[in-house]
Amino acid sequence: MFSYVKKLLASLNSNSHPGDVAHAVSCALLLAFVPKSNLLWPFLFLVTIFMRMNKGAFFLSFLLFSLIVPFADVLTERLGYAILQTDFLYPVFTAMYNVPFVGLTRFNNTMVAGSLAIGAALYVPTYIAMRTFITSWRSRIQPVIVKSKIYKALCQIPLVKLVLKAGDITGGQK
Amino acid sequence: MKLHKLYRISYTEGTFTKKILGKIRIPADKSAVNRLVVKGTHPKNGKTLYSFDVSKAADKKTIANLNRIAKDITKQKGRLNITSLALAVIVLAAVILAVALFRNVIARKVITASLEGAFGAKCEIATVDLGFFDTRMHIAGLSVASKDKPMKNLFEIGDFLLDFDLLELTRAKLVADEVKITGITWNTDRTTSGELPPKKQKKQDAREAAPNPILAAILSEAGKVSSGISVDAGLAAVQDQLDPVKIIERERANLSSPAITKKISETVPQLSEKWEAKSVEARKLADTSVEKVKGLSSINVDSIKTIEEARKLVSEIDTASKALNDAISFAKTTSAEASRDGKTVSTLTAEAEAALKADQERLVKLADKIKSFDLDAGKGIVSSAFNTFIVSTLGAYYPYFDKGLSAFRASQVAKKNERSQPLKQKENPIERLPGRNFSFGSASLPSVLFRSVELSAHDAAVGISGEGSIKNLTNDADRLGKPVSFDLSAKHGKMGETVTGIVDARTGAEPIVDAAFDVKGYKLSIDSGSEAGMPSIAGNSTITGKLFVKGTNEVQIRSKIAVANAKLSINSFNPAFLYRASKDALANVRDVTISATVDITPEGNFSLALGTDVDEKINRAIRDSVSGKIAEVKASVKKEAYAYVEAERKKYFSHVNEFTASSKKSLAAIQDIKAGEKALATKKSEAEKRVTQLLTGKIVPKKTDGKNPVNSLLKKIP
Repeated sequence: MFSYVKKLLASLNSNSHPGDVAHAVSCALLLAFVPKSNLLWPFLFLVTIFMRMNKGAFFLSFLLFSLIVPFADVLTERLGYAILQTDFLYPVFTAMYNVPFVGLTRFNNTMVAGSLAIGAALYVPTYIAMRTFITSWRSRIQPVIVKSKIYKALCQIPLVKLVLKAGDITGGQK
Repeated sequence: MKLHKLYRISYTEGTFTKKILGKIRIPADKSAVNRLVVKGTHPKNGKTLYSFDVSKAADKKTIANLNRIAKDITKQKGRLNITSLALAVIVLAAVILAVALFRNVIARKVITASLEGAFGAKCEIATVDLGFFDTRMHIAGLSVASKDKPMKNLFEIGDFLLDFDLLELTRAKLVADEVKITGITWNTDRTTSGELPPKKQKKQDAREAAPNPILAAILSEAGKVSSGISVDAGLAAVQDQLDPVKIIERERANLSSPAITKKISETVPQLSEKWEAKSVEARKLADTSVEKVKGLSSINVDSIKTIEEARKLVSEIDTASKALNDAISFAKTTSAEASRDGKTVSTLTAEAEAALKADQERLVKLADKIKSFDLDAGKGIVSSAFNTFIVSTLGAYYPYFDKGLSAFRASQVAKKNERSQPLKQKENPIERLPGRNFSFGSASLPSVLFRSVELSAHDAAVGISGEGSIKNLTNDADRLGKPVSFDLSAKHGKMGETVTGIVDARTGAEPIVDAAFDVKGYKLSIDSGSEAGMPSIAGNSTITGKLFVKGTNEVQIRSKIAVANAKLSINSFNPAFLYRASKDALANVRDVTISATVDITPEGNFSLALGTDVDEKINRAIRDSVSGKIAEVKASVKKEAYAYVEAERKKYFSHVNEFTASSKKSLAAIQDIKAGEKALATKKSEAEKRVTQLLTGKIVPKKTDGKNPVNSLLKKIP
């Protein structure tokens, strides 16, 4: 867990691509939404494993979202039900249903369909939001924090020192 | 400290912007790098070149900062990690290859473990061939041991061939167009024990569901048959008409003697007991009185010489008389009581005699009234025997059918209305909802479907062979839209069974089970045992029929049983002429055909209707034979009537005799007391006379004949 925090902080305060963290958070949200008892989840997980992204941000976000997402299950299920009942998608679903192994993804389950739809829909907004936040963090927030008296005072606390050293919040700008 | 090699290379404008500045995200870092940048010109093409003036980074801190930035830049690569992906693909391919190579080993392990778990005994498989891409599975030499008999196999399967649908399997559905199971044998010997090691043994759930009303009704009827309760027809009914004892028994309610005999039995023994106690008391009082009287009587009055002696004697007699008064009073009371009780017993005896006389006349008249027999009651003797057979057979086999039907119904997936399925309530907040599954396309199939199952069994050791086919075996008949149909047959020697029909588990289907059965060549043996008037039947049977189970669980069985080369016999019973008649009638029967209709309502009301023309023939023969025996039956009834009256008389006589004996004892004691009283009075008179003589001086010795009158009285006392 500490290593994930360290990786996230380091990434926030380094020159790494803002998309690393933004993709990680978006993927975590998608995976947190999709139920795990089907072939779709491991497939999506494998995709995220092979994507270059901030693993710390991914795992921390996944843990966080996994605790929140079940509260939206009723909404997810209803959305999934609506999607699977959509007439114009019926030929698509039928075609998919008749492809071997696709059935194992359980796309025909209301929870899987609904969660995939919500996860996919929220991917881009989450990505944009995270990128904006990281850019702002690096250009505006982080310099202000580093120069603030409170930060300097906090830096004197040994535990905070250790965390900051690991995360290198200063980005080399002491 | 050396500066990163990134700063030692010259870049074109585009490359510099994209690969260096484009990858620096922190403005401060961008400024730090820009401070080292030096613009130049390419010597050949004249394009602008960007290079770094490394001399500007003189101090260690700056170099470290620049190296950190360079490291950040070099870290930034494409989004997809091709190397990892390639590695994963290789690993996946290796796994697939391993599964492909060891698929048969894996399949064997999985099947063995499943069967061992299901049957609780060892399972062995000779070969498994799983053709994943040609969607076939072939199992050869499968044997499952018996859990209860470890050295026996529960069953063996020579070959099991399954053609499954790969597409449906990937939808987590087991759909097979063809399943062939051949070489089925059972109860074969094993060379090794089939017992599982203790670790693998599972505890079986001992709970058994309560039987449904239908099964309960059948089992109840079977229980009655086994205990002989329901055998209330047959010749036993005719026998009742001809048995004098039973005739009188039936008339008993109309006879008056049982009531008076009962009254005597209830009252007279009590009186006997009372008088037995009283006799003891009376005897005690009598003995005491007699003792005293004897003492006084022994005194010779003539020997008294003085007036004082005479007066003393008179006084003693008076005292003794006073003491005797209580006994005399008791004797008087008891005497009156004895008279009353005696009268009561006499009255009862007279009533009993009158009743017995009337009853005897009634029974004789009853015997005279017998003009014919109602032999209709004995019409169904063969049917009655078959009743036992059919109910016993149902009791033995219906539970298996019921179990199978229940298991099949339980295997059906719950009928869901996907549009209105309520969401499952979560047990905890982070638990996910299961969701609802949709199926697409017209070819949407149930999760388990065997379109055709071919079965073939042959056991040379016992000479049994069987074959059959089952179509559309599924766990969701509604989705498939077809019922399960089956056609099963077995042969062993001259015997054979065939069962064909359908089991329809679709919603609203009617009937649920529509099956025809045909069983032939069986040696039938219905043994009536010691049941009076019931025939035993043996012969070669052929049973055909239809079984219907309706949606409400109502069961109907329409069956025809034919017995060829039949031998009907009956155990001897009374009256002998009826036995002989029925034995001869039954001996003439060679073929029996009987129709049986069983109806069991959902509430568990059981009805079995049997019909055969054989019963009518037998009844006619018995009727002809028995009609000439009326006089014989009349005489038997009269004889039994006299015997009955005599027996009743004996019963009440014993009580009256007991009473008479007890009361006689009491009366004898009373007589003794009364005799004592008389003796004492005589003695007193003598003593008084002596006193008078002494007073008047006329003492003259009394001349007697030598017999003292008092003594003679005393002698009467025992």
